[in-house]
Amino acid sequence: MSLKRQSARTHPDNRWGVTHAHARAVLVFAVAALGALLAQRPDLLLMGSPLGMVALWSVLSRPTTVPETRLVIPAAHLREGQWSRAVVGVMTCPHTELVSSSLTHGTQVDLDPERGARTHLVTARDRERAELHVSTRVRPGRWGLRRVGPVLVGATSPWGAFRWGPVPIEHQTVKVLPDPAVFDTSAPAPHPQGLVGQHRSRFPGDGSEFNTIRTFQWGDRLKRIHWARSLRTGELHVTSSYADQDTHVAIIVDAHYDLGSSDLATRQSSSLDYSVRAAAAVAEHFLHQGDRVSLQVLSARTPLSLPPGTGRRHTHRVLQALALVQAQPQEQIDPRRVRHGMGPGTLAVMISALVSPAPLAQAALLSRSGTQVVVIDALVDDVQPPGEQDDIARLGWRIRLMEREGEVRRVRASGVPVVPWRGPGSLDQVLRSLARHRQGAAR
Amino acid sequence: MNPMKDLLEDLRSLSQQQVLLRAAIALALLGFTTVLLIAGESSVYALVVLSLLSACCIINPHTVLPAAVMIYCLAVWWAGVADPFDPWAVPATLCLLLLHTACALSAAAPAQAELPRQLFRTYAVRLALVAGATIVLSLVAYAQEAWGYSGGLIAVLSGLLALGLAVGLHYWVVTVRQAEPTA
Repeated sequence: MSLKRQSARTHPDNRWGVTHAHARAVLVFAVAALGALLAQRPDLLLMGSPLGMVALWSVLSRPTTVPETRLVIPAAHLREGQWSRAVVGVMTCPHTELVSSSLTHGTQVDLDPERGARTHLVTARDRERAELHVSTRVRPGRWGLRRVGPVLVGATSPWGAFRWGPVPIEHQTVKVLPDPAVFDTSAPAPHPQGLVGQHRSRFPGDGSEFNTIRTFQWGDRLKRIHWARSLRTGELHVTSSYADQDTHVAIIVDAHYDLGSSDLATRQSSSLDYSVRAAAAVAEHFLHQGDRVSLQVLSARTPLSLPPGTGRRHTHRVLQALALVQAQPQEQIDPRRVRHGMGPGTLAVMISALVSPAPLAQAALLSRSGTQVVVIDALVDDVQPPGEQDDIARLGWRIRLMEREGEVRRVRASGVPVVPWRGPGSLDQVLRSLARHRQGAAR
Repeated sequence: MNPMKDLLEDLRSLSQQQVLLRAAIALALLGFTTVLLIAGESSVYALVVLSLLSACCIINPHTVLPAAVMIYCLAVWWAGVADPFDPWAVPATLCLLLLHTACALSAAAPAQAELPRQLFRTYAVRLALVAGATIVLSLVAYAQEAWGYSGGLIAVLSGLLALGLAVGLHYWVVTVRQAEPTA
């Protein structure tokens, strides 16, 4: 929460100063009066008199207290594309008439009004309060740590005669959580093991999914007695169910490279945008199902990892961790670190743009060690190649893409499914085939 | 930072209310020029200079240019209108008041900011009050002229003394130390 008080006390403009308007009123009146006296022209005095009145009014309503100001972002976290407010709080002082604020554009932050300039006429109701608020709507265009501000704040007295500021207030940094891309899968996770999830087990047990009606056995719960069948047959029958199970889904995000550009206005997304949003979507989906989800980020700058967890708070933890991801290539990936915390039955979902061979090698290693691995290819078609687009760069990029295709083919051949990220249903086919494969193996 | 680039950017992104205020500045200067032409004689050069200064004033209402324009207006009035009790002095005065107010309001807020409607209502009332007081003052001046009262040298000297005292008092008032925030 960005509620830290910011002070602009040391700024040289943090005082009420005479404006050009007031200086003009005094000067024109003085010149007109002098001219009228010396040239015996009362019409000149008349022409200067309204400015003299204005000057007198202005001096009588001169503010004497310097206000204090601060910038507040009321929301603790924002989601990308979500509108929020940046509030400039200004202490109310007598004779302050018009308060203005001008918020500076930050990278990947949209403002409303577009140029961030706002004015607020101080009313009698405002004067009753200790602080008045000038709000500007802000919308972060991309996940991550975003800067809102700095902001310039100023105020004027009646007739624009005295001005306080503009004084700059430091920017505020807001954590912007990735907006999980729409993702849904009707396919079950391949190796459910725990006993709290929503996946139907192949074995009967205590769950919510109906299995059959069978005769009562020692240990059956009384609430499961099927009275209609029992009365009809004269023998106690109970309804049996399948056990509910959960699984551990280990999400691995490859953040070695960020290809393409990211712009909310033109709806352009980079490969890391797709990776992070896909990771958020997959995590949110499985956590909603009651599964345990862990997260690991492969990046030299932000080597984040979250242990497995469940529930809504864990969803928030995952999104917060994903908001901190920054791309930087890693010299070496330690396979032990990647495998850390993965037990038998873990489903590893690796999300990568697959532009470097290292993550693919890790996926193959994981698969070889007995973990079910699914690789999501985040290099979606509209991601632009890196660097300047001259002929050589284009040729180089095409060669790299061909190499990449070869690497993907090899990994597929070793039994690791690679699916392109296409939003909802991206993993359906793969998870179904993994589940079938497992059932076949069990038989 | 390039001031000319900033100025052009400001002009390009003016809010509707700022455009309205700039139009009021233009209207006030046009009104003054028309009254000047009706009331007396002015050279073409004076009018050309006035037009140029007006354009500068519209572009830069937050600088010293409006003060220069107003002093220039006084000078051309003094040079062009011979009668010191010309009744056209009142509309000319009101034009200068409008010019000053529009410039002050325009400079009080960022060029891109929307100004609240209530602010315009407040200033319409204030302008009406000051304009009313100016008209009363002009009526007093014309009555004094009609009665033939003239103060002579003593009136001039006392007027100069009053002006000096007023400017000195003003300086003292605006340089009083300001209170620090209490928060």
